[in-house]
Formats: sequence, structure tokens, C-alpha cells
Amino acid sequence: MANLEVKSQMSPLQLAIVVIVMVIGIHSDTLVRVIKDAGSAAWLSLLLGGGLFCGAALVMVKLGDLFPGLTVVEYLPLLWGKWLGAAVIFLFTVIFVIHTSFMLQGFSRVIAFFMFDRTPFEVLEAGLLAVCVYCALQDWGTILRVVQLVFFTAVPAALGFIGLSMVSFHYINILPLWPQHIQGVGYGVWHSWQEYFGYEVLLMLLPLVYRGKSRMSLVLAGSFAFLSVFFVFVTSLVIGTFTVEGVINLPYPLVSAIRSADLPGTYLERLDTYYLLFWIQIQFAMFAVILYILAQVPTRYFGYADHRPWVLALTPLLFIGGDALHSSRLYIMAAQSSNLLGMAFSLGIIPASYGLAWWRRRGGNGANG
Amino acid sequence: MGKKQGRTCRKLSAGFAAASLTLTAQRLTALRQLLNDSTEMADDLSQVIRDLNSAPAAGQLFLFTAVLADNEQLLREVFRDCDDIRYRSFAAGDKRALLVYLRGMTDVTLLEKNVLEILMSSKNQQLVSVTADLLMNQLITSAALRIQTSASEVIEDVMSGNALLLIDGIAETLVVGAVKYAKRQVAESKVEGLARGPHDAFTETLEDNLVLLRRRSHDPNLKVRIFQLGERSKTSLAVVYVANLVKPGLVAEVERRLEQIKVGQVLLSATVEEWIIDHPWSPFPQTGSTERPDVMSAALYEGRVGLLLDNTPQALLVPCTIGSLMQSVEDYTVQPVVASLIRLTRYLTALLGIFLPAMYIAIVSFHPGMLPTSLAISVAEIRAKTPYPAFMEVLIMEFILEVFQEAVTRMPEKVAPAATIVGGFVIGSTLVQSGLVNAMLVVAIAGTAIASYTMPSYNLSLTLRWLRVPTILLAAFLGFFGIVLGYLAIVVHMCSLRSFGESYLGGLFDITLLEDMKDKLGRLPAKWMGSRPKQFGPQDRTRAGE
Repeated sequence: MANLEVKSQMSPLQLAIVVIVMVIGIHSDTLVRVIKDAGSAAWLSLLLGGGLFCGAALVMVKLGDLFPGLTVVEYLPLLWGKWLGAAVIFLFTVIFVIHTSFMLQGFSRVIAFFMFDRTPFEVLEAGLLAVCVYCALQDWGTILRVVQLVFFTAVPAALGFIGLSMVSFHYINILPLWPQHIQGVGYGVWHSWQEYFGYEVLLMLLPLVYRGKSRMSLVLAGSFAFLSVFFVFVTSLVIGTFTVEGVINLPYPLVSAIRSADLPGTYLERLDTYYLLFWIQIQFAMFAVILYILAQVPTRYFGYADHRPWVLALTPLLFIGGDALHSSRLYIMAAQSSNLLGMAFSLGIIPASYGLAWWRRRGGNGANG
Repeated sequence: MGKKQGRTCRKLSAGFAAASLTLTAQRLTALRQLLNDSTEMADDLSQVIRDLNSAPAAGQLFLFTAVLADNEQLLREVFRDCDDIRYRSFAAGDKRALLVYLRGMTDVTLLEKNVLEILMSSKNQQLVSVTADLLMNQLITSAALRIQTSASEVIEDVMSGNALLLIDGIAETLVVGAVKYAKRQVAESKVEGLARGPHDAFTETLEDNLVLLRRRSHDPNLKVRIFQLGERSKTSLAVVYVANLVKPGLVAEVERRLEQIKVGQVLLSATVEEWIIDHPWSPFPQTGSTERPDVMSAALYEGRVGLLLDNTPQALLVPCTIGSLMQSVEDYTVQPVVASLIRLTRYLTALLGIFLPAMYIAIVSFHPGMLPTSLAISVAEIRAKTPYPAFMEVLIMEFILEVFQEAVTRMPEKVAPAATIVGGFVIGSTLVQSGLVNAMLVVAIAGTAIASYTMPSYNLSLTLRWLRVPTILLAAFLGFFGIVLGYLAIVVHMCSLRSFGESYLGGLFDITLLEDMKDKLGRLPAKWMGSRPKQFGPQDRTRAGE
């Protein structure tokens, strides 16, 4: 039937919403790592990390501007040549697959820990993936609407429950605010990539953004500012509730902080379960977008018109990847390797690609650009 | 001078043989013969043309001729075993005439006054050389009169209640518009009643329904296009829209889909709905349905297209969004703040209507810790007295609820209150007392049923009933995790639905359509509703100052 209106485009503001939903759901599992590095100065690591990755995201936007209408999959071979371009695209895919598997395992661990201690991880992972696959099989217009719905319903509700846990906050626990070990802050910045992972989808989504009155860079910087403030708030909250030492010994400090909140006379108990009901929705939106983006990579690279077979092909890979990380050693290794590759990609390859594209264009050697 | 001339002048034929009178006479005779032959040939050709004309064209049953007896015989053959067809033969001047009409669907008084009285009058001198044009333009005083030559259309006209006038010697037939049949008067809607506001509702008669719409808008841009649906029933369907508001391409798309309807009979607007929607397997209603002309008029002026089917009071409105299904006329007859609260409650009850039984299972079976300790202990005590697990309990109660709702819908109105008492009080309380289910579940199921009744759209409340079943199963397997997965699947499905190219969620949760939120989860006062909803893509978004 004739679709009377093209709905696969989006505004810069909608892209910012996608980035926020992608990033905001990840924090509970990876927060401990940054606090372990930077101690009570974790807030500074997260702020600096926010600035750093915002810069990386802006470079991605600039790079995309040099190749209007093309995704990273299409312009990297033009820029780096066929084989090197393919290698970088492969790296991009590997980062997403490893880190998504890591997050899927983390998701099932959180749900099993707080909701279903006797349910096998596989059941939880398969349940979530089933709905994510259903979503990723749709067109981008549908996925965008789902992401917005989650942003307007689940994100405020989750933030509300996080806010409620302020009742257990003790100011004294977050002191000293100023860093004692600068090196630790640096390590914290390095590991904060795991907190901000997800903004890389920009590379695939930029051609879908129509540029109206609002400035892309400004809107994107705003979303990173929001995320940085959110992470600082959450980090301060968990340290204020449990102290630095307490947080390091907890597997999931944020959910534990919400669980510890007691609201006498409100008839509400186990706020963590209520919170998780909304957190699952945010996680779902994130996984659905990742699955769609991952499917778009081979679709565009090999010139297919339909991304759906790739969604179905990639799902078992993510499921097996997530399930394979049962062992804590592999789980940590996956986090570390994706962190390393992700940093290299965002702060090395993408700026280098931008520099190359800019140089070619400036030198008149830019048929590609 | 004359002599000189006589000497010099010679006969023309002497020098030019072809100029001789004899030869000219011979040639004239041959020419006459040729003319005679040509005339005969022309007559023959005319006869061939007449013969060709007398054969019916493809798709036509037959052709009317100038011989009345032949025409009558053909009509009697077509209307064989139709005892309600009436043939009224009479003399129109010195010619025989015939009126054919369907008893009970034709206004006989009108025929007597406008046709029979005039044509049977002995004083009417014009009847001596009567023609179809004369009948049309001077004799018959009926307002709705037309010449019809196609037999198929003539038969359709007669079956629709029009009268057919045939006169001996005239090959054309005259169709006299005299449709009149028993019909329900305009009355109040039984499903969309209103405390404050207009009470007239659509009926089963398309013409009356169009009048109800026209009375509400004297706008020449309000267009009505009539289609015939059903290869056998030939049911009329009116496509109604406001030409300078409707989204370009929408009317063409509606008409394209209507043309694809291939059925013998169209009796219900739901049949049309199933043919034109994008996702026939979805449990969600994908067209708006209303019996209220004011609702339809308001929708048309938002840029939507209305479909009015003859013989049914339910009009369809496309495109359809979940927001439009959640709106009720009453939202606009009460104070905006009150209306906003009511509408917000409606959205929440829609969620309860789907998820309340599932939530009961999840809390009781998987997450009792979510309940306050005192309540959890109390629930455990009650549950200890019932033999079934929570899932089975819910299934039993759901089954009873469905049976009860179905029974109340089918039984005569006079018995329904008694059945309500028996079902609600006797069976409910007995079930609790016998220990089959616990009282808390009865409250939850009753709450679910009442929640689903709050929907302004009956079809939407049926959707909620349907969605309860999979969510109960998901809750039985995975507790609240399963419920969230079910919720997300419903959300994705709703986001993927399109109604005539428009998103089914409409302006809900779309940052580019934030303006439409002024009349979604709540509503602003009329003063601040100066623009039309963006979601339907009207050509002119300004409502005020037109």
C-alpha cells in the first residue's frame, strides 16, 4: 500500500533521544569499575569521560557531514580503500557484538539476581531477545517511535525511582569530592567508555537525520551534558548510600541502593522490582537499536535492500555470545577487550578518518569526499 | 452580321461528339440508375445498422425496442418469480404505456399524481405525438426523472425502488425517482449516548445520514462521492471528506482500496473495514467507528475521510489512531481539566484492562515481596484456602467472565438484569465461599472487566479482552518480566501499525508531533485548540478564523 508519508527520517532532537536511551540503561553494571578506579572522584571521571566522548561524537558528525547520505559502512572503503575499509567496518561490528554480548549477560545477571534467582540465564536472554528481534525487524520509523515511547515513559519513571533512593543518601559518604589520585581518575575516564557506549550508532544513523533549524552539534552536546549529569548523580547517589568501599563490594550498586530505600507509610516495598520493570524497557530499546544497527552493517556493505534476514542471522550470534560469558573471567575479559577496541575506534580511527577525509578534500584529492 | 454569324457558327456536336443530346440523355439515364442503386444500398446499410443496434452490447442483458409488448416480455423474464414487482398497464392518449415498480419500495402516491394522472388525462392533446423528450421536458412533473437505455441500469433502478415508464413506440425508457420505504427514524445512539450535546444519530438510511452531516456544515467543500459495493447487493457507500482540508492523496487511496473490494454482498461497515485496513490480522481496530454525525463532522474537519454505508448506522473514519479511539464526545462537553483527568484515567484503565489479572499472577506467584508485609501475609492466608495455583484461578475466573459477558450480550434485554445479579453476586460469592477462587482475585477480575468497559470504542475494549490472554500466559511463565515483555511486544506492534500511511500511535510519544498533545492524554480549553492535529496531515492547520 502507498505510504502517504516518509517516516524513516528523524530530527536531530530525535537522534539525541536515541543516544540518551542507548546510553542511559547501561550504567548499573559498569558503574563499579569506574568507582573502583577513581574512588569518590568517580564523578570527575564520568564528567571528563562525558566531555571526551562528546568530542568523539562530534567528530563522527563532522565526518558524516563530509559524506552526506552515506553511512560509515559506505564511506570507510572510499576513504581507506577496499580492504582497510572492510577491516575497520569489521572492527566496528566486533566492538558491538562483544559489548552487546557482555551487556546481555549483565542484563540476565541483574534480572536473575533481583527477580528470578532460579531461572536460567538463557531463558531471560532469549525472552528479551525475542522482543528485540520483533522490534528490530521493523522499519526505522517504528523503532524510533518505540525509542521515543520508552524515553517519555520508562526513562522518567526509572529516574523517579532512582530519585526515591535519595532517602538513603548520606552526604558524608561522598567526601572527599576532590580527587586524591589523579591516575585513578584517568583510569576512570578510560573505563567510563563502558558507561557511554552506544553513541557510536551515530555513524549509521546520521544519513537519516534531516537538518532543520536545530543545530546537530548543539543538540548532541546537550544529550551528552544530560548523560554526564545523570551519571554524576547516580555515582554520587550510590557512594552516598554505601560508601566507596561498600560500592566496590556490591555487584549492582544502583539497584541495591534503590532496594535499600524505605518509604514508611507509602505502602510501597521492594522499589527495586518497580525500578527494574522500567529498566528492562530501557534495556530493550537499547538492544533493539543495536540489533537493527548491526543488521544494517552487512545490509549496506553487501548492498541488500532488506535488513531483516540479517537481524535473524545475527540474533543467534548475540545469544550465544551473551550466554558464553557465564564465567566471570570471560565476562571481565569481554568488557576489557570491548573497552580497548571501543576507545581505539572512537578516539583513534574515527579522528584519523576525519583527518584523512579533511586532508583529501582540502588537497583537491577528494573525489571520495 | 447574323448571316456572318450563321456562316461561322457550327453545331457543337459536330466538332465534339460527347456534346450530343442523345449521348447526354443516355448518360443521365445511367446516372439515375446509379442513384437508385445507391438509395437501395443505403437502405440496406441502414437495415444492417438497425439490426446491429438491436443486438445487446457486451454486459447488457437486452436492448429496449419501440414495441412495448416485447419490452414487457423481456422485463417479465428478468423479474420472473419476483412477486413484489408490479406492472401497471394503462393508455396514454392513443398509445399503451406500462409502469413497472417494486411494491413497498416505491411511492405509489407520487406515481399516481406525477405520472398516471397526467398521462391518462383525455384532455392532454400532446399525447397524440408523444416522445421521450416531450415526456421529460413538458409532461411528467416528477423532480427525479431521467431517460435510461441500458437494461442493466434500468433493472438496478427498479430494484432500488424507482419506477420504470415504458410507452409503446418509444424505445427509450423513463426512470421516475420515487423511492420510498419503511425506515427507522433518526433517534439517539444506543452505544454512544451523551448527557450533554446533540442526541441524533445515524440510521440505516444513507440519504438521511448525509442530511445529518449537511445540516452540520453548509460548506461546499464538504464532498460526497457515492460508490456501489458488492457485485450482487450494489450497496451504496458514500466517501465523505472536506476537499480543501484532507491530506492530498488520501481520498485517492481510500477510493483505490474500495475498488479492490470483491464481494457479492456488503451488509456491514465492518466488511468494508476488513477490506481496506492495512493489517487485517491485528487485534487492534484500525478504523474509527461512530454513529454520531457530530463526531464524524468533527473528524472530517480534522482532515479525515468518512465512509457511510447504506443500511448500517456505523460510519467509518480513516486514518485511525489510538488517540482518536480514546476520545469521547463527552470530553468536549465537560470542563477541560475534568476531561483531561477522565481521559488520563481512560489510558490507565486500558493498561489495567490488559494487565491486571497478569499482575495478580506475577505478584502472588513470583514477587510477593512487592506487597507490604501485612498484605502479603493476608494474601498468603487467603490463598492457603484455595486449591489451585494462581494461574489456574485466573483462568477459571477469566473463563467465567468471558461466558458471562457473552451471555449478557446475547440474551434479551429484559432478562439481562436478572442474569447480572445471578452472575455477579450469586456465582461470584459462591465461588469465593466454596474456596475455588479467593476474594482478592474476584476483585481483580471485576476491576479488569470494568476497566475494559471504560473504552469509548467497543472494538478497543474487545482488543483489551483479547490481549489479556497472552499476558496471563506470559505472567504465568515469567512473572513481571513476562508482563514487561508482553507490554513491549504490544508497544512494538502498535508502533508498527499504519492506518492509511499514518502511524497508529498518531501524535502520542512523537517529539515531532508534540503540538498534537494538546488533545491527547488530556485536552486544552477550546481557546487554545486553534490548530488542527498535525498527525492527519490537513492542508490547512488553522482552525480559527476560517
